[in-house]
Amino acid sequence: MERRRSVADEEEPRTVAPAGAAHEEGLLRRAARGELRAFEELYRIYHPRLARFVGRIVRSPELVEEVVDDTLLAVWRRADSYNGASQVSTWIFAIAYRKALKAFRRLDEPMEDRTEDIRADDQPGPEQALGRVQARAALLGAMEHLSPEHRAVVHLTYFHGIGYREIAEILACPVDTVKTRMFHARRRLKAALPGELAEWL
Amino acid sequence: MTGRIIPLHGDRHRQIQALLPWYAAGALDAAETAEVRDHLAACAECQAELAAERRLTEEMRAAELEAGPAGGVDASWRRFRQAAAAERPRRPLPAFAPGWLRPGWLPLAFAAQACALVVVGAFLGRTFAPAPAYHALSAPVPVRQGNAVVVFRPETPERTLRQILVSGRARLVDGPTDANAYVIATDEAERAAVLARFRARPEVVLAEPVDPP
Repeated sequence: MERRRSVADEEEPRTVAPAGAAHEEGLLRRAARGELRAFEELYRIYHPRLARFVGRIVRSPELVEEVVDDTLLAVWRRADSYNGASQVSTWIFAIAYRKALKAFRRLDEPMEDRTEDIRADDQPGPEQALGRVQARAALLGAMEHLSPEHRAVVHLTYFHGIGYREIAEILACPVDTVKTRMFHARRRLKAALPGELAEWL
Repeated sequence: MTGRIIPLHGDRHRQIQALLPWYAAGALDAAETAEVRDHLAACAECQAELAAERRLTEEMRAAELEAGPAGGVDASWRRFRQAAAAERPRRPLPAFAPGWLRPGWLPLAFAAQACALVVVGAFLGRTFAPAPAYHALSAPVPVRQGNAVVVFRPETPERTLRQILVSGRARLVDGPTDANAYVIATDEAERAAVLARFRARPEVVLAEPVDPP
């Protein structure tokens, strides 16, 4: 299956040419043979994607950095165990997900609720109309009310444009679980968002 | 949060509705895309749902990007280089390597290889003795010879490896060998106790004495 283009392809800082699934697989195979230059290219493609993804599961910036570093080091060490059964992106995101979830359960500290002020304004009146920036901050804040498993499904779908079957592989769960998580996540997002935003959902 | 799975089979409308987030993200395959499109043409509820999905997708993406760039790749790469430099260069398996040599079997093969190395060393008595092909007059005289061999788990970080060696007042003499074994030197009188402590560590696969010739 051809890898879809997501916002991550278009807008993340990138120092290498756009990479398709076949190109990424070639880079990983070369990395498995010890080619550091090929691995650096893969590293620079995946670092921003993983930083965003892991940042949606664990909240401490230091922990995000640690998990991303650990993930990419594991990719280097285990490159020769990649068997081509899934896409390179699925394989790498799956490693990141396991490490992020482990870090979340072991160490992550809850952060202050960034949506509190916005929700407090959720009263009838002219101030109800939220600016776009506030609305987007409210969305990210509402995401923080979800479990890490639900945040992963929402983020991989909306930001990375990854299909539910691949998400199921990344999260190591059945596809119906992915759909169910999305259903519950949308319902919880709706409950957490201020009035106007909740109407979308 | 609930882990209850909602039954999505049996109701075509609900099944299509469940696919809309991925339809909006352009992440369905061709057959599913066509199926959703057909359903949308006749379902006002799903059309409204799709409009909401598209707006949510757009806002989610914008929100992520507004949250700031996912930077730090250069610093991360430098940290990787330091970590990778502490490891020996990989020797890849040839493309035609049989399945039993593929990962999964490798840790076992690697531990067995290390054991074989120790046994051969014990018999020959000089497996780990340095045998330089060229010795310059200015070369320093070696002050310590290895008297034990240790194999660490491949994922052991350099920091832990160092701590283990320091805890046994051991010094690294040689390695990693082809079997990822390290030759170490430790106080002869304490060697047995040090190696016993090393074996108790989860990071240590093997710790055996080796007597120099």
